[in-house]
Amino acid sequence: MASKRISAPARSLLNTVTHHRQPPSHRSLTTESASPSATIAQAYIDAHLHSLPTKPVLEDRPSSVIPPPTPSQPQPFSPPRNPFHKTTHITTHTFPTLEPLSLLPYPSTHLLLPLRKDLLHRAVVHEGDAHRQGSANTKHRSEVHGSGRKIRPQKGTGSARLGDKKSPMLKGGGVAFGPKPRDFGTGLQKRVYDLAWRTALSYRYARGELLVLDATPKVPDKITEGSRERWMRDLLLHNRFGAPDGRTLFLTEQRVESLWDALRGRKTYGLHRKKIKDTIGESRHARALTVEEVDVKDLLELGRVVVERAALDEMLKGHESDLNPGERLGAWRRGQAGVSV
Amino acid sequence: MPQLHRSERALKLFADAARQQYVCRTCRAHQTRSFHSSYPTYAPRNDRPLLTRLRESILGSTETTPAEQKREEASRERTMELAKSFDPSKPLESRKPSDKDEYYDIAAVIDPTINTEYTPATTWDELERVGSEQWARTREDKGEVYNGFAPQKQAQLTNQDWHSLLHNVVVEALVLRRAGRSVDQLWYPRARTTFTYTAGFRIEPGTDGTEMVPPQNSKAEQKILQAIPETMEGPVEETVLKRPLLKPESGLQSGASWLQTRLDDGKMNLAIAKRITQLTGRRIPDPVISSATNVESLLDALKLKEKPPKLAKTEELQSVGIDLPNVEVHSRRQTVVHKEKRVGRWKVIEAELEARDLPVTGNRWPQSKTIIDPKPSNLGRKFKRMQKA
Repeated sequence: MASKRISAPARSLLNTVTHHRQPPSHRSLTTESASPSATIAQAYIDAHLHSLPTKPVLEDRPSSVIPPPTPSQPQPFSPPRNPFHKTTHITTHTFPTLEPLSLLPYPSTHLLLPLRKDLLHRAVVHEGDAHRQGSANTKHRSEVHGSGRKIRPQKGTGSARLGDKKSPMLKGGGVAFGPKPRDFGTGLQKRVYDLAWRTALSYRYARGELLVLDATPKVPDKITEGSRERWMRDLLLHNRFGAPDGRTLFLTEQRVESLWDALRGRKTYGLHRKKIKDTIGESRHARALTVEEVDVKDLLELGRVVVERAALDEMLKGHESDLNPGERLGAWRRGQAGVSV
Repeated sequence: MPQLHRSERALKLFADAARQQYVCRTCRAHQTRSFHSSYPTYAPRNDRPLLTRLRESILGSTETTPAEQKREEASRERTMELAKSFDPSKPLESRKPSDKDEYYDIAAVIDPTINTEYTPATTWDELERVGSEQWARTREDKGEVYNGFAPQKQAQLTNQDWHSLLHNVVVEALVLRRAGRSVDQLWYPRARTTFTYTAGFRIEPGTDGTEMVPPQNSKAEQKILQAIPETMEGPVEETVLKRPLLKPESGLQSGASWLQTRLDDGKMNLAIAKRITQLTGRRIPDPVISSATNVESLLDALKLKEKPPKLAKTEELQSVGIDLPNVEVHSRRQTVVHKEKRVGRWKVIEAELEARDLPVTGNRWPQSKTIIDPKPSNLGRKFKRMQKA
């Protein structure tokens, strides 16, 4: 049952509504009595309220004094905690044995996003457009080599009228609306692209196709240069990461020369023993990319993604513009550390 | 006039100023180019004619023939010596040239007249192919072996086997926890399995989590703790589990009660998943490890899902039919006849059609179900037969 007491704000409202600055009272010979409005208000309260008033509703004094500021610091507004945000864990592995080591926590805003095929489609199309060379070129009739001489008279020949021989109607002429070099890039909002990036990683995580390595995946030094390619192939086939199982993408922070060599090694044999300077880092069974080179399509293309822990953090931190500052990875980790302490 | 060389002629004309003859520019240039301080001297011609020299180079002369024979004889003697010293049981000698950084095998010298057991190959099967890129790569490869944590061959287990294996691993984990040892010791390489000891353990959910029967410090528990090493002494070859893991009559705890055993600790989940990967080569997905609250979640990720025979029988469509009030799931295409039967009108329709001597389903047209002969040559004849009919 609702309380019948007038609450404090209502009480103050009554005070403010009915109060005006009273002039100093001039005592007169008449009987002293309270002001008429106070009498009416009090009569109403007495009639309707059953609780004991703590003090008179109307008081003959100035309006409610502004309370002094509280000594404690005013708390900044903090929004209530989002109940949909969870924490999930991903296993870290050693390289090259791929032994599970520990569980790393990540927020659901980064690795537990729901599948949004439309966003992934937009991101992949945007990347494809940006990668287009756009170098198709044809000659317009003004660019075709030749003079502008009218090749036959306007009238009298019995054939159609023709101007110069560069007309697109003629063989050897220019192209009417042919392609010209242009930029095929389309725009995509950074926030949408970042959300698509994290959606792709979440998709891989949900399917168990995201493997995190605790350290940089380097081929051990004890493996000689001539054995690296075969040893790497053995590693991929042993762990079912190779071509029969959909191939694997290795993601690292920096270019790891031993890994790149192992995947498409330098040719150190041959007639002149020449070394090829730039290695592709891609073989029939796997591909290696750095964080700067990878895009959403690469994350979705191959059978699984094996990523270095530092590279995963760098990717996630570089694609969280759609999140509030408090939801980003760094802030989330600081919050987790504070909670755990 | 004596025969003069062209340059001399030009020089003579140029020098003879009295004649005042014209010397062309070309001649002057030629003269400048062909200035010689001395006349060229040619090598003395051989005293033998050309044909003689040709014949001697092809057929040999009295000097060259014996010298060549001598050289051939010396080479033949060297080859025969090498062939005589050939021993098929000994490995080939290898030498390292000064300008190379690897060893080369010295090929054996075989003389069929001496090494009579030698038979030259008539095909290239099993002969070493030398000189390709693959050959070069194989030579450079030192043959280091890769060793992974998980076994290469995945164990193919039935759902009962997964149940047994999970029971064994969970019991081991709980025993370790109860004994105060680290759960990480679960995957330390060990020499023997503990299936016979863990089979008798029953896991019951207790007030504070799980209770295990038999109680602590029982004989079976001691055996389990002894089987699990406390230190990682080195990789022991643990073979991939083969079926059957546990015989049905061993009395393994079955039923859903122990599957509800709580797994609150992420470390415990990881240790169990790691042990399963170590034994079977199967990896449990990370979302399952992270979100698993009981053993049943882990078992669901491991066991084989039976493929339902019909799409309508799948769990997804069955749940749609139950949850949504305006959706019905049928295993067969719903025809007009099904709808009429549902309403109750079909028997009336059927009776009426029979009364009028009309076909209830299909029709009675003779060519309504023509079977076309697969041989194209018969098509025309069949069609004519149909037309005649």
